Amino acid sequence: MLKDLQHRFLAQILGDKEQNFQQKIVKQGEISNDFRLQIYSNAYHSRLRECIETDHEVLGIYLGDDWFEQMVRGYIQKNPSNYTSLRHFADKLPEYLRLNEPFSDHPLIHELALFERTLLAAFDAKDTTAANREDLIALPPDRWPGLIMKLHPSARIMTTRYNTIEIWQALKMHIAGQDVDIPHAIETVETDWLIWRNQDRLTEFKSLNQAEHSLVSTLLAEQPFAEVCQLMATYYPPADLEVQILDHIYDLLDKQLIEFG
Amino acid sequence: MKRKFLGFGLGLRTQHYEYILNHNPEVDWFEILSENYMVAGGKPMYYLDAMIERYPLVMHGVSMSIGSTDKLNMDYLKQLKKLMKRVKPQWISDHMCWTSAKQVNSHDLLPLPYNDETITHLVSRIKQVQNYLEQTILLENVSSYLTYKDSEMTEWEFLNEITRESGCSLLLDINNIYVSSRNHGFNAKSFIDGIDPNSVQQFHLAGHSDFGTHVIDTHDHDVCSDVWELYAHALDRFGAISTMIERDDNIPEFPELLAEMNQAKAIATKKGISFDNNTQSQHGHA
Repeated sequence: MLKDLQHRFLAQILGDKEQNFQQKIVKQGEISNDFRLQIYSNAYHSRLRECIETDHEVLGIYLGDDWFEQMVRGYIQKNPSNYTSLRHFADKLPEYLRLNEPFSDHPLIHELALFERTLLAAFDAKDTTAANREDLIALPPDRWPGLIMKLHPSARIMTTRYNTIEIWQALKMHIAGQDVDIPHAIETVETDWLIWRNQDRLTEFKSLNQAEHSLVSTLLAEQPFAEVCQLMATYYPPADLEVQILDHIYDLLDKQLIEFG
Repeated sequence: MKRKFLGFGLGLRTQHYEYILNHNPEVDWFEILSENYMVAGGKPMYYLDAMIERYPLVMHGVSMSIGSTDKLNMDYLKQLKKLMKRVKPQWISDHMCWTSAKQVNSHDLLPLPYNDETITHLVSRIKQVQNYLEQTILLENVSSYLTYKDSEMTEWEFLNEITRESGCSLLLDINNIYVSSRNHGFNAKSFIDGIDPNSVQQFHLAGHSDFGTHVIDTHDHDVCSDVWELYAHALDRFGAISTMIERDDNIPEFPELLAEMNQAKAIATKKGISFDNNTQSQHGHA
């Protein structure tokens, strides 16, 4: 009986009016049973809406009220939460926006949502003890070829095909009260971005050139240093190779993005 | 669980991290929301560790879904136990409710029917959880907006049965008693007078939104005069109980919440209840 009651009540909250759950409730006071059920239904939707709004502040501004509400309704209906924490409720939002009209007609919307989720993932990723330049120099030379430099768990690569990051930055300034023109969406050359959490526990991002992208991808795949060097040799002439590799590695070490495996 | 009096506390909210660390306000203890710290790292864990060093903490969860007919969520309990090892809380609590069915989470604290079937179900699950966590837990009475036809007893009779049979304690939310009393037309003082005095371990105080015909538990207002009066009545019945202000929305600056906490302290002091946090002693009448 308890199981049936819970299944029917939750179905009613999620919007299944066929449940006639009103009949399971005692009539009390001045408000109707319909209204009592509506309190729970409203709470469910407003809680999930607030979660999406908090996680995707910039996306919300970009979409405007009507499209934001349409997205919230559609996403909640297609993705009832299986999570204990609301922290992950909107994890599938970028995919929803990629696959469902009218949002799928504007791929930048998917990229904007994905960028915000990637920032969130970096924000509370695992802490590690980062290595520094001195740690690297102190390593015996015979350890270098097999050395695995792990990137910080917050580090992620994302690729954009639109001016998504430019628009995100402009909207952030707009939210902060600055008078700024929001750029129009335009298709651009494919750009790779490194997103991470810095030593002050704030999220950062930077664009990557091809060599940096290859380097970071190789480190994310936890390949040994000898592999990294071999790959970098495809980008730089032998005379510059050592200096260029060290420059890249020092940059990542200075950002506290590397630990030695 | 032997009743321990922690004094007067506040719910820890992210907006107040920096203020607390910079000012070390005179708060006897803080309550953290367990789920906020079930993450791998970053700011939440940094601030949590800083709070662990400075204040006694209790852990309060919203996702145990102890009354659900789904299987107990062992992944959640595992995370909870891991967090407990880090925090070493004075105690942990959740709600006397269900939140999920068929693995779908409502993210709401849904009421249970008050009858023998629910008691048997709940008691069994509370015992399983307490065995797994290797300690007794506190469960909070929730605000509710409907009464099931399947209910066969009052909420306070139901709570007494649960605590007596499972050995768990009560986190008595005074505001929730008020909200439910208005929504169901019972006397809030009768609720308090009906609760077993030995079962109560902690009080919550909070605000709500009053719509005249009904009241919604929004935690976005100051504690109202009726709830303060009910709190005074609860102190008369239960004596020195660890008390905290719970604010979840429309969160004011920290000093404003501190003033509200001190209002609770002043009411308790008038009743001869005080807390000396130098000696961790407690005084009061129960």
